[in-house]
Order: sequence, then structure tokens, then C-alpha cells
Amino acid sequence: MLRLFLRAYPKQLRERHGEDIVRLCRDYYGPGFSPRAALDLLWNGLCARAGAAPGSFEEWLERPAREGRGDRLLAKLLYDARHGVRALAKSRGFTLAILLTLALGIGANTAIFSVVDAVLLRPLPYAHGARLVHLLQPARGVGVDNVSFSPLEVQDYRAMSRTLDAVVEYHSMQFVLLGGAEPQRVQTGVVSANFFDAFGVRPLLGRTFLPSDDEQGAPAVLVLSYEYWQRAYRGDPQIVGKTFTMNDKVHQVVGILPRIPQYPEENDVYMPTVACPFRNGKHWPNDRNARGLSVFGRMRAGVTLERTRADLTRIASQLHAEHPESYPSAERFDTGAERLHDELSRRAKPTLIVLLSTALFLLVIVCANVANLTLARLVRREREMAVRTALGATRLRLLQQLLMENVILALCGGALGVLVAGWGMEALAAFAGRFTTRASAVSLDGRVLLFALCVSLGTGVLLGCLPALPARANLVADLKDGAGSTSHRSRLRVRSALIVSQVAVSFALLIGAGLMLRSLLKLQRVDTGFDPENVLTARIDLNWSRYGDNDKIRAFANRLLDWLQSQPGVLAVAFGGTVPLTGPDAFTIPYQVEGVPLDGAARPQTELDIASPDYFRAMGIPLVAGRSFSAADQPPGARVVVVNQSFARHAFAGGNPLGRRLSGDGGKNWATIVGVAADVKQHGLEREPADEVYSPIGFDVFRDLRLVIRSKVPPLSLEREVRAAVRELDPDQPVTDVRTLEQVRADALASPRLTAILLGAFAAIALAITAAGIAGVMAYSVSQRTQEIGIRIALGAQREEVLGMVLRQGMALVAAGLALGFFGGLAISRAMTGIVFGIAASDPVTWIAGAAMLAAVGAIACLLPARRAADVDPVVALRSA
Amino acid sequence: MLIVSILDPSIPPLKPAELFVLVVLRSGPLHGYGIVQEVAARSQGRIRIRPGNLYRVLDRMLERGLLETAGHRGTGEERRTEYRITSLGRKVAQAEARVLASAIAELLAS
Repeated sequence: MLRLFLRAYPKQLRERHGEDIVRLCRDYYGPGFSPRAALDLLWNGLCARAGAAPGSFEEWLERPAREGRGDRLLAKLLYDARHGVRALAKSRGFTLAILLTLALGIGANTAIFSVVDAVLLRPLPYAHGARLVHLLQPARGVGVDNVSFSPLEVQDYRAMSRTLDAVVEYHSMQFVLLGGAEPQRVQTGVVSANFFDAFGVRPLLGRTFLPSDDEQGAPAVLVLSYEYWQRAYRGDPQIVGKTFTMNDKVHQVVGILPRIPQYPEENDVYMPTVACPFRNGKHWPNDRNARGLSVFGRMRAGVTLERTRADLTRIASQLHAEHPESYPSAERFDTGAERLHDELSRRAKPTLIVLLSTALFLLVIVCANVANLTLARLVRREREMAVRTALGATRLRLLQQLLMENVILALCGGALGVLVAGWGMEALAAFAGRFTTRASAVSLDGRVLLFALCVSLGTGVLLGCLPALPARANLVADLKDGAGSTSHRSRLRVRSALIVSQVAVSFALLIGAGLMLRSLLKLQRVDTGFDPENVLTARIDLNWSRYGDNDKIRAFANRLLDWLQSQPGVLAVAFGGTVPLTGPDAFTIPYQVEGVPLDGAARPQTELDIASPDYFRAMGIPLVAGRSFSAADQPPGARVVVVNQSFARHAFAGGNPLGRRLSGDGGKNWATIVGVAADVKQHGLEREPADEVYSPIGFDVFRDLRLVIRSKVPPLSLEREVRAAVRELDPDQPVTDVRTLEQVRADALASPRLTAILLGAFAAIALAITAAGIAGVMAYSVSQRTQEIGIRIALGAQREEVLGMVLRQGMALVAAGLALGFFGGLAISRAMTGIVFGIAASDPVTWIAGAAMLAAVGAIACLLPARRAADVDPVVALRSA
Repeated sequence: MLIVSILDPSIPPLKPAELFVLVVLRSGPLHGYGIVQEVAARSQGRIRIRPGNLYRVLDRMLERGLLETAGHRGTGEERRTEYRITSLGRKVAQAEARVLASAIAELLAS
């Protein structure tokens, strides 16, 4: 291995001394490969090639600059590098300022690129990722994008498809796993036996499912996800082969999945379909209308998505013809497919694109700022350059050296930037995790480092070419004295142009941040429909095998409610079917209103939820009309329901819904509406409330209960009582997701808040850099015009006039920047239409506030140099001429 | 070949490492790695020639005629060159030693 690095030495030396050098290296740095030995070989070898004296890096820096013998190009590069490092070390303040801005710009881009790369760019980490599709069955007649599939339909598509060589199904349930230290509620993915083969996922340990695992009567087996294995068993490899009890059956762990983004959801464990008591029950496998499965297909090699879609449409029309009762024409069933790659990143895409473009904008500002600083420094080095030119250095040679200096700067800034990126990456990955499971793959890997290197090199080269921009005036003038020469004017023009571009980009960033902030404020003010203060929620998912029928569920619920009601500090306690804002898992049913003929139209859909008598009081949901449930509204009593306002509006068009009757099962059972509750934002602050029907506990089979407790005491202090009460009733029953409603609400705001914070931080950095840039350029302009200003004052100009003159000059730049930034703002606000809520992209408040803020910051930045101009002493100024 | 004279002040004096290389090679020819080890031993670990410096020391001494190539051992990557001291090398070493000895004697006497 070390011999590879020996190649850095010239051939002749290598042949003569190679063996000795390698042995010495081993003595010096220890046996085996060591990075320091490799570095020693590389460095000294390159030095030998360049004909430079060897030694350590520090010695090299100290040595007087002298071009060596040997390889000319390398010697020149090494010489330039040394010259560059020494020049930069000489002006520490300048170097530090540039390194910091570069680190921010490159760091922000690197961090965001790492997320974009992991989520949008990289192919799926499944072997067959590019061929995987998600099958969708929309029913456009009732406005549903995907009604999902029934087991019978899965069989049909599997048998009839010509373009898919694998069709696999998936659904996810909560089961209770017994056999560990305590009962655990596990999210269980129920999948076809060839699910992992179709995706091309190979197990980390053990095996995945075999076709024999999915046969009736096969021994029950489980595969654990990597995350659950790490979390619950600390990565213990002995877990393979262990048995657990689930749904009163013994399950054996046969394998562990590798660390991959799980799709469609994160699950703790996986089981084959035959082991699921629902999927393998009496009803589900035999009812074409019992839909609820997600279906994925793997396209045959070489088949396009279009052909697959056509194939699926063909099968769908055939099925529609064979089973007209399952596909009412009014509901307009169809079947389509989407690439898995697109599905996985769809939700993250708009936000990530906005973030990436913001980061690129920030880099533009950073570059403009560094360019400005570099130009300012060049002015101070003008005499050095002139002297060197006079001594025979060619213009090309000087440019080469400046280029090297800038590349070194950019590379160091980039290295710092990678540190910045590494520091912020974890938070960013957690943020992206709210949109897509692919975020688990975010890391600072080779691709990301390569990106950082390219950005740094690109920045360095761009900046290094800048000094070539303003045409050089004659050298003699520079040698005599630089002041007032034409090169200064052209340089000031370039610097002013840079300032204009900084203002423009800052404006665009301010618009982006402002829109996000306004959107966040709107979201914060959204009326959720419930009162989140002092409310505790907890999830109690009852074990299917133990709570098989409604009576058992109702008995458990009533006993627990009675118990908790008697606790001190509890105002109201109730069960519901969902906690608002916590997920899209609503239960949707078609319904009909008594006395309203369907006339062949599709039956409308509503969400069905359950509520115990005190639910509305505990949640703080106002009842608009009628009453809530009472203890008498349980079987065998008459069936009653409460509807929400949205339902009442849609189903009765403003008429009185109280006393009217609904049916959710085609007219077999009817329920009377006894109350109307206010609308609740169930699925997100930004979504309109859906139509909703609440039913008392005990009529519909709901095992996934949500406990809601309104209290006088801090809600989390009740957690212990809740757990104790549940343990008393059923020791095997887990209680999970214990949170306050306020936490739930804050969580719903977390991702827009983080987006706003990120955009706000970018805009603040941009603003600070721009302000510093304006101040710097104005100060330079004032210093160049000292004599002129002195003459003006000597001739009688007032202090205010001088102040105004400088301010006007500075604000002209800001105004030009704002005008230009208008277009950038348009671009960024257009990109943001998808992620802002409640405001238009052209939101005038944001635009005016952004412009006002930039103008104010610009004016403040001009003030310091303006005051210095006003304080110019005409005597001093004229004498120095 | 350079003509080295101890009396010629334009010729740089031997560096400590070079002096020790000459001392080591008086006992017989040796390859580079062996030289470095022997130098370290005889200087009681005070002089350690770094890997990157080895070829510089040896090549400069060859150039000045203090050493010569004695032959090669092994082939290919394993090929190693052996060096031996020249008569000029012996003379220079002795002259250098005399200069140093008088200096040391003076130091010890005081």
C-alpha cells in the first residue's frame, strides 16, 4: 500500500532509494499503513519532483520563496501555493472574513445538497428501484385518488398483467408483541411473501419470506426492520430464531432487514399475509369491495411506464365488465401507476427545491461579497503588483498567482463549510424525515464531499478570474501613485455592480423568508376547532384477539373511563377514534340520507369517527346544535350520530339536520342525527375540514382508541395514573403516544416553522453580508473622493449636503438592486406557491416590508461612510493632495 | 567530481548526519536503510534521518565524492543500493574529526 504513494517520487530516485525509504517510513510511523507515512511519501515525493528541498510542511512555509529546479509546472504550482498561503497569512482579518462567508455559503449548499441528493437525486436503494411502481385505483366519481385494492383484485391483477413480473400487496396494522421485557405495540407491515424480492431487498441477517411462509397453516414468522432491531434489541444478532407471541400465536423471527428507507411506511416488523388475522379472516379475502391494500408492481425489464399504464387500464376495463356490481359506473373507477421514486419524494420536492435555490442565492451573495473584498484588497496591493510587473513578471504570471490564492481560499472555506454542513446535517435530516422516509439516507458521503469540492473549486476559479476584469491602466501611473487613475473608477464600477447584485439577491431571499413567515403566522392563527389547553391524549390500541367483539371493547372503555373520571384534577375524560392533526388514517365510508334518492349518482363519502359521551367536552369542540351522546346511546339503544358543520352544509344544504337519518350500509341500518359539532382540522392546519360523522362507542368496530383527558392540573402529570389504570384492567395492554394536545398542535407547525427558520436565517445572513458590502464600497468611494469632498466643503458645502450626497449615491445602488431583485423575488415566490398557506405569492405586505427593510439596512450601512465624508477636514484633505 | 579541501572555506562543513554516515561506513559497505539505523544507534538516537531526507543526504555525499556506489542487491522493487566510503571521504572525516576534537578538548578543559 505504501509503495503506491512511493510513486510520488521521480522514477530515478524511486529505483535507487525506494526500498530504503519505505522501510524507513515503517520505522518512523510504525508498521502497516499509516496516513502520516502516506502523506510523508506524497509530500516529499512531490518536493523531489519539483526539485525543492524536502522537509515538513511548516519548514516549507518558512523557507524563502524560490522557484526550484525539476518539474517546471509542479514547481511553479508549489511556488504559487506557498506564495498564496504567505500572502493570505499576512492579511489575517481579510482572510478570516472571507473564510467565514465562504464557509457559510458553501456549508449551506453542501448541507442542503446532501438532503436533495439523498431524497431526490439518488436512485432508490432497492435493487429493482427503477422498475417499481405503485398501483392506484382512483374513483373519480366520488373524488377519491386511490380507493386501494381488495385481495381479490390483487389476485386478478397478478394473474392478468402482461407488463408486471411481480405484483405485491401491503397493509399495515398495530399488533401487540409479547415475550420481551414488557408488552410492545408494534407497527406491523403485512406483505406478500415475495414483497422484499420484488423490491430487491436482501436481509441483513437471516432471511426474508419464502412462498411457503404464505401458505395456509404455515408456522408464523416475522422479519424485523433495522431501526426496530436497533431500538428494541440493541442490534442483538441472537434475536434471529427467537419467538414472540402476537395475536395469541407464536411467531418466530427469521430475519433482519438492512438499513433502507421503508416504503410506504416505517414499520417495526413484517409478517406474511397469511399471519394477519384480518387479511386471513373469513370476510376480507372473499369480498371484492373490501379494499384496503396498497399494491406495488415491478415492471418487466425494458417495459415503459406508459405501457404498464395501458396494460392496467385494459385489465381494469375487463374487471369492470365482469363485476359491474363492484365498480358502479357513477363512481368512475380506473387503475393507474406511479413510479415509486416519484412517490417517495413528492411531498419533499417543493420545499427542497425552494431551500436549494435559496442556498444557491446565498452562495451568489457570498461570491459577490468575497469578490468585493478581493477587489478592495487588490487596490491595496496595486503597488506590489506594479513593482513586480516592472521587475519582469508577466501579467499572466500575476494572474496565475492570484488564481492560486483564491483557489486556496475557496478550498479552505469549503473545508470549513463541510464542517458547518456536518454540524447542521442531523437537524436537516430530521426535518426532511417529516416528508419522506428517504431522509434516513442523508449523510456526508463521497458524493456530497465531491459536490462541496466542485463548489469550492468553482468559486475559487471564478473569484481568481475577477482581477482580470477591469482593464489595467498604465503601470507608470500606478507606480507613481494610484489615486485618481482610471483603473480606480472602473474598479468602483465593478464593485458597485456587485453591490447591486447582492441587494437584488437579498431582496429575493427576503421575499422568500417573508412569505414563509407570513404563512407560518397564518397557520399559527388557524382555528383548529378544538381547545388544546390542558388536554392529555394517549393511544390505546386494543389487542385484536382479546377484544374480538364490540361488547368487550365497550366494557373496557367504560370501565377505564369510570376509573379515570374519579381521579382528582380530571375535568372530562373520553375516547375518540383519532387525535386531530396526527395522520391521514381516517376511516371513510359512503353514506346516504333517508328520503334523498340517489338517482344513479355515486353515494357521497364521509369520514366516520367514534366518540364517547364526554368527547366533545374533553376536546373542547363546541356543539353548534342538538346534543352530544349520553350513556344511553349504546347498544341495544337506538342508533344516533353527531355530524360536523361541514357535513351538515354538504348533505342538507343549510337545512336542519337534526332528526334526519343516515345509513352507511346501503339502507340496512339507519342512525338519527342528534347533534351538530363544530368543524375540526383533522388532517392538517392547511387543509379544509372534511365531512365527518361521529358514532358512539359500541356500534362500529373501532379497536384503536384515543384517550382524551381535560384536566385542571398539568396534563402530563396524569400519565402515571393512566398507565396504572390500564395496567390494572389489562396488564398486556400498552399505552403509547402520550402527548398533550398542545404538543400535537406544535408538532403540526414544526416543519413550516423549521422552513421559516431556515429561510429566515439565510435571509438574515444575506442581509448582514450585503450591509457590510454596501458600507465597504461606500467607504472606499468616500476615501477615493476625499480631496473632492474637501474642495466642496472649502467652497461652502454644508455638512448635510455632503451627507446627502453620499447617502444618495449609496441608495441609488440599493434602488437598482431592488428593481433587479424584483425578478428574483418573482421566481422564488412562484416556487413557493406550493408550500405557503393562506397568502398569495404576490402578497403585497411581504413585498413592501422586504423592500422597506432592505432600504433601511442600506441607509444605515451608508450612514457611517457618509458621516466620515461630512467630517472631512478641508485643510487636511487639500494638503494631502 | 568536485575537489574538496578542508582548507577551502567555500566548501560547507559536514553536517552531523553526514559525519555519522562516514563513521558508519568506515566499518564496511551498507545499504541506505542500514546506514540510517546505524547512524541512529551510534548517535544514541540523537540523529534520525527522516524518510524524506535520506536520498538528499546520500545523493549529496555521492556528488561530493565522499561516498560511492558499492553495488546492488536484489531486483525490481526490492533492489537496494549499497554504499561505501571513498578515500576522500575518509580524509574529510578525519579532518572534520580533528577540528571537532580540538573544539571538544577546549570545551572539556574549561
